[in-house]
Amino acid sequence: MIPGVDVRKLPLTPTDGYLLTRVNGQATVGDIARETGVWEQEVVESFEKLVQLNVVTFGSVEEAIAAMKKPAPAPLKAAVLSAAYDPAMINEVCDLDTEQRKRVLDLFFALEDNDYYTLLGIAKDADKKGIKKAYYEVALPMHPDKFFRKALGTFKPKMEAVFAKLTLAHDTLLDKEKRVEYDIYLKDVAHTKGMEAMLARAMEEARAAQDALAATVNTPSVMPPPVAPSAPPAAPAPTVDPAVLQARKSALAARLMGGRQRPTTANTGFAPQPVPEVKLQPKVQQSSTEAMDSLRRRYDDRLSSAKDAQVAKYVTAAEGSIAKNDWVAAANAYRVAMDLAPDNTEVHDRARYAQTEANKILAESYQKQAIYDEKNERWTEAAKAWVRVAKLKPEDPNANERAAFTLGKADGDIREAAAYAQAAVNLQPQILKHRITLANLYMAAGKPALARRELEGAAQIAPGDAVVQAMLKRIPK
Amino acid sequence: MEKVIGIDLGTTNSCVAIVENGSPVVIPNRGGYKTTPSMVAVTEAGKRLVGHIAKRQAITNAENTVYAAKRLIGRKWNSPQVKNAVATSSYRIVEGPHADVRIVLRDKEFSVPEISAMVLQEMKVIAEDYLGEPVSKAVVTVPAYFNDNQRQATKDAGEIAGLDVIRIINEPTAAALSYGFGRNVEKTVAVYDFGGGTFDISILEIGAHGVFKVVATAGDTFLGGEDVDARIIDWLVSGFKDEHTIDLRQDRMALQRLKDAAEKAKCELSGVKETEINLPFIISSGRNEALHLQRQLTRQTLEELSVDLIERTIDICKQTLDDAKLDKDEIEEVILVGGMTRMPKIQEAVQGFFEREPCKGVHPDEVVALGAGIQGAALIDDKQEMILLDVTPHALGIMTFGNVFEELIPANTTVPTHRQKIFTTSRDNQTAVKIIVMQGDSQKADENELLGEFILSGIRRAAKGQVEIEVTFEINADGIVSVRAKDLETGLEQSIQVTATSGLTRDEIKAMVDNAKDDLLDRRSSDEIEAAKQEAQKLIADIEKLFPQVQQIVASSDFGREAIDKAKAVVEKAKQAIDRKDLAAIKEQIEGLSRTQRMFKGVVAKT
Repeated sequence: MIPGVDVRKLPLTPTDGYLLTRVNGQATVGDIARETGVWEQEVVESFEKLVQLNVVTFGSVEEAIAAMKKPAPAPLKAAVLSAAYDPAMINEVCDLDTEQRKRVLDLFFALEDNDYYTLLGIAKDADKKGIKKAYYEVALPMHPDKFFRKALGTFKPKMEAVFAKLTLAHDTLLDKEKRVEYDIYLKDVAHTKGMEAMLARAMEEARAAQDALAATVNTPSVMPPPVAPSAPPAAPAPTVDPAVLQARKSALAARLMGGRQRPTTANTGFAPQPVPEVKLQPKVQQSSTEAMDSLRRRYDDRLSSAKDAQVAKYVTAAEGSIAKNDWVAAANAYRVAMDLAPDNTEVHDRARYAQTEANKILAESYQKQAIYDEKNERWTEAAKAWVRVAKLKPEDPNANERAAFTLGKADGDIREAAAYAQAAVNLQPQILKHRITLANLYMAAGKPALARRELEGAAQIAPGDAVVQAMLKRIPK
Repeated sequence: MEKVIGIDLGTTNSCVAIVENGSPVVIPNRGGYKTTPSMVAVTEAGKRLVGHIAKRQAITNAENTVYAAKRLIGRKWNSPQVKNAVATSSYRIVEGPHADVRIVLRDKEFSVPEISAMVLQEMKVIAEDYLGEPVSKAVVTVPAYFNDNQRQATKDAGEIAGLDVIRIINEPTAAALSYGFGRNVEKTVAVYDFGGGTFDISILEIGAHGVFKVVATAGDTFLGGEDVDARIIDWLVSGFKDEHTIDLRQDRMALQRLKDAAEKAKCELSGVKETEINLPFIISSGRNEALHLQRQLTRQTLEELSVDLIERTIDICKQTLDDAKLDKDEIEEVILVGGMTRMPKIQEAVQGFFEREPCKGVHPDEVVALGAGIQGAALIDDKQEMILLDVTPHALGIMTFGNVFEELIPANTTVPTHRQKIFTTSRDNQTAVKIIVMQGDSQKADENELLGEFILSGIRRAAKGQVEIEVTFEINADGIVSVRAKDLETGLEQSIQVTATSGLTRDEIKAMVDNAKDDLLDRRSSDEIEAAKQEAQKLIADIEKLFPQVQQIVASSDFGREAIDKAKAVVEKAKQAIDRKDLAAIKEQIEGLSRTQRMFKGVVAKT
């Protein structure tokens, strides 16, 4: 925090202020998010504002923000360039030049995964003028009239799709009400993305916490400080910079090996080390065995107390999150705690409960998103969201069926889609809809025999069904 | 590079233009006039006459001279507009084989596109004479408020005339192109286009890089200078009747002379305050003596005769600004187009409404053709940096259960565009759906224009609302509408491209609607509708349960009977709203229902 700034005079929201109270020069974005129960995405946004207002400066946090921002949509060019498609498509012969063809493909394949602001290459707070200007610049070269009666091949429908989408973006953002609605939707998406990022990082964090623990306890085990029998249990040491740790380890190894370098990997694990040549004089002379035992005891003590402290920290964070009704953050914190204390059944139970609650919330959130996407014909996005719902609620036949259906619509992985449809059929064998979706997917996958089998199953359930009969007729024998 | 001409096919006059060496010019006809009357005649000898030459002989050959054919193009025989034209035209209009309109000239029937084709051909010849080379491509303008049937019929006329109509554009848009072309302005403009037969208002944004984006457009395809003429004719006819008790309308030649005189007087009154209408020997009296018509018409009288017409145009302007979500002061320029805007009263009204003096820099008769020429050049010539983003003037959608028009593409949507919506079946075990494609702005389907229809069959037998049908509308850059219906379960698909007029009359549509009732689609119930419906149904059940009790209690009082009747009406309305799946209506009725329920409970509790 920069001293001498009068925070009260700044345009801060309550959230900004709350977050600001947690800034202590050490906490990372992740720490603050966990502690406050605010979404990481929002923490980042808030801090960006704070940095701009010159309230705070960041060292590591700034880097953390930069690291977090990397996967987020970058400005137009980068985002568009990152669109993935078969580069051979650019070679299609038509009246467009290579650059134009590239531009069309870049935009076309970026349509699904980018929000309106990114597509138009404008900031979230762009005004009417900025939106119009960007629209003219990006959309007009895509208007089919620019290439009137030219041979455009498969580029023509792509250009029309790009133009229509950009126009929709323009119209949505220029209409006050629609823009508000859209921004809320984006916020929801960011929310779920935030949850997703947390989930993805929970494991990583657990691993990191383990490593940190091991490092904390390991280092002194080879270089024990003078410890009096009455010495207080060591407090959990601050995380040691891995580079420093590595340097220390190498130095020690060099000394032990009499100057010969050795791969440092030998230093890992808890195996008893050769009795170190202790430079500091212990107060009481002990036999080597006694020294070993003492060391080990101390090591275990330190390990468990450090672990306990860590576990306690995460459990507290989790409880804090629960108090704020933020089950997703709670589940994450518990998960880390659970990894640290694999034998603590209480933590396990709580973690499981929090996870169930979190899944419910996530599933709901994704389902909301999926329905909005489906309504707006964004099949790829809808498919992604339904797949999440289906994964979170594997026992929900409708989610499985929708996942299968939208995957099919989005030209997604047919095998995956079929698996979801199969799950839906297994859950509700009597529902025709599931079987028809599955049969359609089999057809799309070029497996008429399987489709036929499914339809014959359907025909047994509903013998007179016209659709099933019609579909059966269409399958070549 | 091949040249593309721009043709303003007007109700009373037509005009042709071309871009030469980067600047648009109007091509004069052989007589040196820049506009040509949109009139067609057939002489006794069977010779076809078009333009000035047709106009000159109109009085002596009234029955075989067609004017204002544009008011009939793409319309159905039974439409009120055609009925009106039949009553007031000096030429014969009859019903064609497909309930369409035919015009009889020397005992031969012509379709309306054929008549318009003769005018277009004349314009083509004018351009060819001027350029000294054949011309085959054209951009033709139509009123912005023309529907698809009218546009298609205009395109057909071009084809009959041997023209490849590469694009149909809207007249006010064309005017804006001409206004903004080469000026490098960035402005929001309103184009007030009051022509011979139609009124249009369009609001456009002119941006950098030659962008012309239409924001909103509206109009009335049966409101124009012809209506002002008709008011003058009415005034003359009724005056004559008062004096001589003779109805001049009975005589086609007299009618044509009146029409001529009315138009002339109207034009003159834009410049002078008073004019004399003098038609000697207009008709013979019963005793075979010649009667003359001679009257003074003042500008003030003309203004009084047409005040409501002018007010109508201002109302439409207001509506369009609302649609565009713009305030008056956001309009930076007002462009006047069409002969009627020469009338001082109209200029005054427009200036009064927009609180801004209209732009004087464009020629109201030529600006549309110039714009069409500019668009033609921009399409063909890669070097032209100009692009026109137009909108669809009417909403497009399908008819759903209960005569509801379900909009898929709203009015004022930038084209090209495509939209889709999912519907469900409207009755149990329905195996086919009829997709009735419509265009219009009424929520009641049968008040809109029918564009086409098709049937999607082979649908699974299921309870109503179970099967989902996805309907997709697409308008491409050329303005062609295609509609696709897809059974989401089976993947079965049917589609049409709206290309030709269906030739159905309003009555036929009604009959068809009645017959097709069972085959229509229905709105998909959303969760919200479902929740509201359940709430309403619960209230209805409550009320209906209490009915006998309440009836018994309040039977003696007048007040009670009234309350019961009201309650019954509320329940009935709510049930209808539920049947229609009309969320807003259901919500509205829930209020009434809960009030009734409270009242009933109160009555029962008291006793």
